[in-house]
Amino acid sequence: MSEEVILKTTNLSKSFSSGGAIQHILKNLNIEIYKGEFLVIMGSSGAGKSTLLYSVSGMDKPSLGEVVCCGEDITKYNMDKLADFRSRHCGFVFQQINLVGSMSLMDNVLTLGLLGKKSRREIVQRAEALFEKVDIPAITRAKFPNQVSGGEAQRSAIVRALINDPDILFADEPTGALNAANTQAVLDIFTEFNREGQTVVMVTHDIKSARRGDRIIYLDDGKIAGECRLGRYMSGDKDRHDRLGAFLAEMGW
Amino acid sequence: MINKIKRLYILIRSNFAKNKSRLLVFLFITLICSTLISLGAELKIGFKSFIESKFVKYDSSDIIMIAHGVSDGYSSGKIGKNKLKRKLLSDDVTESVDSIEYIESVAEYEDFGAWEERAISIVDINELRALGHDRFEIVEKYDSDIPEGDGIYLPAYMKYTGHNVGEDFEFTLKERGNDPKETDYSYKIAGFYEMPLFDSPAIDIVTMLIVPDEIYKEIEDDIGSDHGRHSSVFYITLKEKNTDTELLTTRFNKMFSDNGISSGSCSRDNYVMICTFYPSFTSVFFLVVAVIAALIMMIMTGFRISTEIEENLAEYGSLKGGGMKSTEIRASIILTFIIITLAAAVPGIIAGWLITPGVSDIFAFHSGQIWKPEFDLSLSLTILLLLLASVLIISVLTTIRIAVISPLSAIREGIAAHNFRRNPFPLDKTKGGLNYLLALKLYSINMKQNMLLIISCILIGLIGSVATVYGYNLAASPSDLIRCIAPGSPDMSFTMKKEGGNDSPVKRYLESLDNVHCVEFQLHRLECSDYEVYARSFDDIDNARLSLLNEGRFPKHANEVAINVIFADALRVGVGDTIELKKDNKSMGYIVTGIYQDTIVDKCIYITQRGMDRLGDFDGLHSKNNVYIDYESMGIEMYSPEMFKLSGELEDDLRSRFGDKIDISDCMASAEQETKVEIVAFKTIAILIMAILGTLSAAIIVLIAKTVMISRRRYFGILSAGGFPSKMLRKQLALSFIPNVIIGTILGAVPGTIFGADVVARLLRYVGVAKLNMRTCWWMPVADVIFFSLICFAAAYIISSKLKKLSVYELVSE
Ligand SMILES: Nc1ncnc2c1ncn2[C@@H]1O[C@H](COP(=O)(O)OP(=O)(O)O)[C@@H](O)[C@H]1O
Ligand SMILES: [Mg+2]
Repeated sequence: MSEEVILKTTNLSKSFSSGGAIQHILKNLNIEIYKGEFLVIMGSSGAGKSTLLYSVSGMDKPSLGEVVCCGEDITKYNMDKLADFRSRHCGFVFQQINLVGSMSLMDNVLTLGLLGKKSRREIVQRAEALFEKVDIPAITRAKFPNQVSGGEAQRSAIVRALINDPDILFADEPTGALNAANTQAVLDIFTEFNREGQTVVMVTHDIKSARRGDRIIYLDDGKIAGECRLGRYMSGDKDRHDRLGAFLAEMGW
Repeated sequence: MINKIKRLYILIRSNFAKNKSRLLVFLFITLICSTLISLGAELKIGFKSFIESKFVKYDSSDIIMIAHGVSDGYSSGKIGKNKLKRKLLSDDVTESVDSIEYIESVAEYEDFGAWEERAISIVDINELRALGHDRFEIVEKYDSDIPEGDGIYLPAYMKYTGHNVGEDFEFTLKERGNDPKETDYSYKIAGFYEMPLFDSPAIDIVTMLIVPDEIYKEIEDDIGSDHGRHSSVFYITLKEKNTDTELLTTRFNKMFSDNGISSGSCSRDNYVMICTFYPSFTSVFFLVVAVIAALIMMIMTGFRISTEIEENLAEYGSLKGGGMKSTEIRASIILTFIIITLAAAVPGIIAGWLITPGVSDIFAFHSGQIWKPEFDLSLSLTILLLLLASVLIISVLTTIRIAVISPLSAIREGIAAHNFRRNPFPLDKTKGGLNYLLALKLYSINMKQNMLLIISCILIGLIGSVATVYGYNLAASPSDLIRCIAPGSPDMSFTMKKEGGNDSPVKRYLESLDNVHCVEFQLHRLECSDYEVYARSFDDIDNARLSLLNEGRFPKHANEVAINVIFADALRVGVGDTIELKKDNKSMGYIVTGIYQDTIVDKCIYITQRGMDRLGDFDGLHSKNNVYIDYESMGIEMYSPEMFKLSGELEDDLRSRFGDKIDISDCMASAEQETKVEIVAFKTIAILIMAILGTLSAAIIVLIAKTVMISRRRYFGILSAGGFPSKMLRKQLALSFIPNVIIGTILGAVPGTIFGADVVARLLRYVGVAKLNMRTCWWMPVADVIFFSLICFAAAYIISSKLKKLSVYELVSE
């Protein structure tokens, strides 16, 4: 983990107007994300975790403030420029998995992969390698999302998120819809890619998932309530769990 | 009960709130459809009854006969006006015969912005009034103080040819004879008159000017003692209104000619047919487009309802779970569509009626009558009920599905009931641009939309291609309307002056010209089943005229004839039947070998020269070649593909060479002049139809694109999150419709191009069109396909601009 800042927000604010009333979700956030780190964002439901994730990753525009990501000031980007930015720098994994139901797992991955400038051969090879890594055999890759288990689907979604070799992998409660065994597998994959240098930003509700992170940010009412640095994850680290527990208790979890 | 109504109201309200824009599209299509039906029906039914109502209004005579050179004072060998009147009255169907005297002349005046020579008749207004009936009406009168003696009245149609009340009308009267004296006149236009049978440019007998006493006297004095230029119009009213006026007119004409009087005539039947020809022609097009629009509207209703059900399956399930009866849910959907149909059809029908005058003005002009369409309530109600009934039937049928939804399965499965098995165009194995492949994938999963789109495009392509063929043929050359309707018409015809005798030098000269083909004929008046018919006899009827043959072949042998469609229908004969022709007292049977089309002369026969000989009285009437020469006239018809370019020069040339021997008539030029307004109107209609179809296809695409954007919301959200720019997504969506637009339009446009003209001809047979001789090219369906594809692409691309605002929040928080 280096000290190189890959993403930096300055006074990031986000508000929505719904039914005439303006709702301030994020309030003057200053966050830095370092290259290669595994950042976990926690907070109570409705605290604005997802909003934060989408505001910094170019999915949505901040209302106020600045976001500089991967050397680009994306604050003023229009929607199409943001889309292009996302395809070059970001990968996403969602709680609802969100694979395209009418396409095979392979095609789901290639659809985003072929968006880039690489040749078809290269992309197909990369997809195959990634599928191999997340342990999805060739027969399964040709199946449709509704023909595979939730875990397989989410692992394919991770392959899709990584197909363009993103600078940052964003995951919004990626294990929320999975059972315990599948949760483990998905978290292991994240950890493994993180070890290989992949920057990961993950929102989660779950302590077991959260303790995988190098650093945990706690969000409360649109502000950062606290931060906890755990260092590199090692399985069986009992102390780590306790430190996180104490931090969360402090945050009123 | 109250509660039930309230619940229904809430459901309907939510239906509207949910689908605002798509219901709007539906509303729009219904609007177009009802406007067209109303317009077409109004033209078809309204115009004819309008023309007929004029006869009632003016208590009009049913036939007018014009006797040239007959007046009270004149009697040098010919019988006088009063004697003729008595003869006409003696016919057992004649109730009354009124007659007036008028001045007959050839005049030159400005019409359609050009000086034209026309036959003109000048009638004394008081004499006309003295007939006692309201034969005519002054429809527009200069209300300032032109005293009646100071101005003249023109036929109402001349309002459309650049004449205005209060302005001066100038004309030059020409004497007949070798050194004609010309006199210029100029009078104020005091107003316009309306008079059935007589003030129509379609019926090219004469232009009648109604003038006050003073002016009549003035002109009469100028003309002086030349009583040959005083003629009579006979207004003949019939006892039995359903008499065949055509047949009777023939009888009268024969009587006139038996008495050595040359005559002109017009019958009610003929007038109505000519006046309603173009409106009928046009209404056929509007009605066909309307029927297509209605079909598309029905298909779309079905589509809308079934996608509506799919989109709301879970909701309906839970409503049913909550105890609501499926009949209530169904009623809410059915009522939603009934309300929209009502909301669109009522203004649509009214709009159709409102724009009728704009379209009909063109045709009203032709009939010489000013048509102010009256709102036909029963017609409108019929159209409305028809539309409502079809929407009702479709919606009742398509909502049956709701009755069988089980609440549980609906809630559990929702829309996710799709079961994909096949992965078309796998990305790792298929070559091609990513977005095109994705568009193909998108295309292959939207089966319901595909069906709707293909069927709609077939219908649109079918009509669009006919409009293309039709528009192209009219635009390509101004003579083409005439070529379409009367394909055999010559470019120029020459009639031998009686004293001119032999026509072979003329023919020889003509045939020496490049690209010119000549047909020599003689014209005879014969009788057939009590009709007077014109027979053209030819030495050889060759390929030049084959284009106008509709069935069978032209006669080769002496006992064969070909007759025209209108006549064949009137006699109820076909190819192979025998007809009896009569000349003087000799009659002979002839076999009909062919049916051809001729909308210019309605009862007409082609016969061989030797066939004519069979009817001849060979004693004393033979020429030295043993050829029967008792013909009305003799002439040459000339055909040339390049006629239009050379007609002016050629005419001058021929006049200088043979001017003393022949009368020349530039048939195409005069036909072109006569159909000028119609050609513009038809071109406009062809463009209008393309515009309507374009709008229709755009509307269909909007509806489908909106539906796809809703049903594939997640798909677009996922792609957008993954970095697809909205432009790509929009292109993808728009492209996904194109295969169906292309397939559908080809399936429609190819047969439309090939058979369209024939089908239209079939629809128009009752006005004498048997075959529309249209040029078609391979590029026409291609052009249609490109046209509709571009429109559909643009419509889908524009309407999908919403994809720009695609919110990830909505996607992930679903
Ligand atoms: N696009 C949006 N429009 C309106 N309100 C939104 C939108 N996105 C988020 N919100 C609101 O912001 C708040 C925070 O949402 P979110 O960031 O999803 O919370 P969480 O921390 O549970 O992920 C919620 O109350 C939600 O209603
Ligand atoms: Mg969230």
